[in-house]
Amino acid sequence: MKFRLKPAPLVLLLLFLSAPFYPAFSQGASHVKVELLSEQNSIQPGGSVTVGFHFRMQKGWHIYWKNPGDSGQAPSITWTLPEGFTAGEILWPVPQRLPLAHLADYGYTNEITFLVPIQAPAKLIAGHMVRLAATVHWLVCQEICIPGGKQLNLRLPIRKKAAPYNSRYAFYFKSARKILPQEIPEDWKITGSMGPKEFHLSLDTGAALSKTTTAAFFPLHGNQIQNSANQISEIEGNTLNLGFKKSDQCSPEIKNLEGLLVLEQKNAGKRGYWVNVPLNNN
Amino acid sequence: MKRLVFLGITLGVFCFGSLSYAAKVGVPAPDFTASDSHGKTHKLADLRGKFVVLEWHNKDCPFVKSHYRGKMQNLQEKWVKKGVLWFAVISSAPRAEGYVEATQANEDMKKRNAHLTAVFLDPRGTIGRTYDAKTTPHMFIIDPKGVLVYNGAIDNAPLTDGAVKKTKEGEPFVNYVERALQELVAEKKAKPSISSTTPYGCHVKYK
Repeated sequence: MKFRLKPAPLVLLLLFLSAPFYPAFSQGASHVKVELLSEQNSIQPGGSVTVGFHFRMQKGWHIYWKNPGDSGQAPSITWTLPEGFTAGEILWPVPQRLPLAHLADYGYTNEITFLVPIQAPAKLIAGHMVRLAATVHWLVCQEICIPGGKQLNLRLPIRKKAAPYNSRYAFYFKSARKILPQEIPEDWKITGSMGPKEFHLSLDTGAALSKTTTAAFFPLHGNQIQNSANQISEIEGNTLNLGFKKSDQCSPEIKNLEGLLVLEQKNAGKRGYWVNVPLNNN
Repeated sequence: MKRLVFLGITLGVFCFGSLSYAAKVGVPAPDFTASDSHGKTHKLADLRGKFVVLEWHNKDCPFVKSHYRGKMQNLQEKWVKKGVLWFAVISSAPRAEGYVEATQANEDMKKRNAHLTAVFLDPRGTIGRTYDAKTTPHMFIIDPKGVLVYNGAIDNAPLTDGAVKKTKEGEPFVNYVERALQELVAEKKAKPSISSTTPYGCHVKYK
């Protein structure tokens, strides 16, 4: 009897060890856990706060970028806000390319936080509470895809003083901001061209790109580039050349390429820059 | 000079590294031979003289499910009655989502009251890869001369959750396939006003 009970502590230990990672997944087959977090503890009249939709996916599952690539669906948010409040667009973090057979999607694995700025009206009474309500919908895929949705609420007190930061979630916001795309620096020169089957981007940063190891382009619109094809980058001195294949469905009237140019740096991770490059014919 | 060399290298890689036979709007649709769920063989080249619709299908994909609440069947019925040949193509690999044997394919389509000319079983993904079918549902229309005239999404309202289908804010709803068939078949136009869109949905579960 004693002998037969022995494995139990081991099982309990394993349960205990695995529990902190994905506590909610055992309750259903949703494969993703979503929370709405606020960067600040309160909101000022006329001020703004940044909120974050934190998605944690089960291992092997992914959600999507603004342009999902060959398949999938970007998450969407519908707000119900008190009078005078406005929500900005989702600040899309730099995505990953996710290959699937001979196709490729753009999205996120493990965990990701989508930041949204919220602006408060000037006329607010300090001491009151405001309720920010959002309905978020997503599609989470592994081999199969499952649509999901959740209603999320955030209650924040209105205070006259500048809103203090919520240290509890600081890590999530810091990590999210690290991979937010930036505007391309003004002194960088980027040109684009296209041939019958391919696009080329050429970037001159005016300073040695010695730290940059690879580059990739993520198109904001579908049917422009072949998402699954290898992109070829060449870095020399101040210049980066990037070549990638056109989609067979690309319109011959395409005038510019809009999307994210992502530079990967040694020991510094990925940096994404929003670009909208006019195209010359080769 | 260096830039020219780089252009040359990438051009070489793209042109010779990946030969592409994918379906292109405005040119003859690639030919194929398909086995349907009743064991019959169909060759695209033998179907000249009729409009052909190819609908990439996966019965368990939420996007497909949302269309099969009646809209897809109604669209099929309307155009099949007017002489259009409408084929569902299942390119899911064995054991992948949406893979079905012939008998089950027939049962499923009967249960859902689909109005299809036939269901093509493509478990090796041969037709899928030839057409570069990316999603379910990814739609193609081939005209009576065998030219591909539409390649893309079924409509502009991707699914946002299990129930609600939405267009982008301010965009009126368009079923691209219905509009194209209306223009091509009913109005006898040579080309649809919209011939290429980005397909949406689940990825095709290729091997």
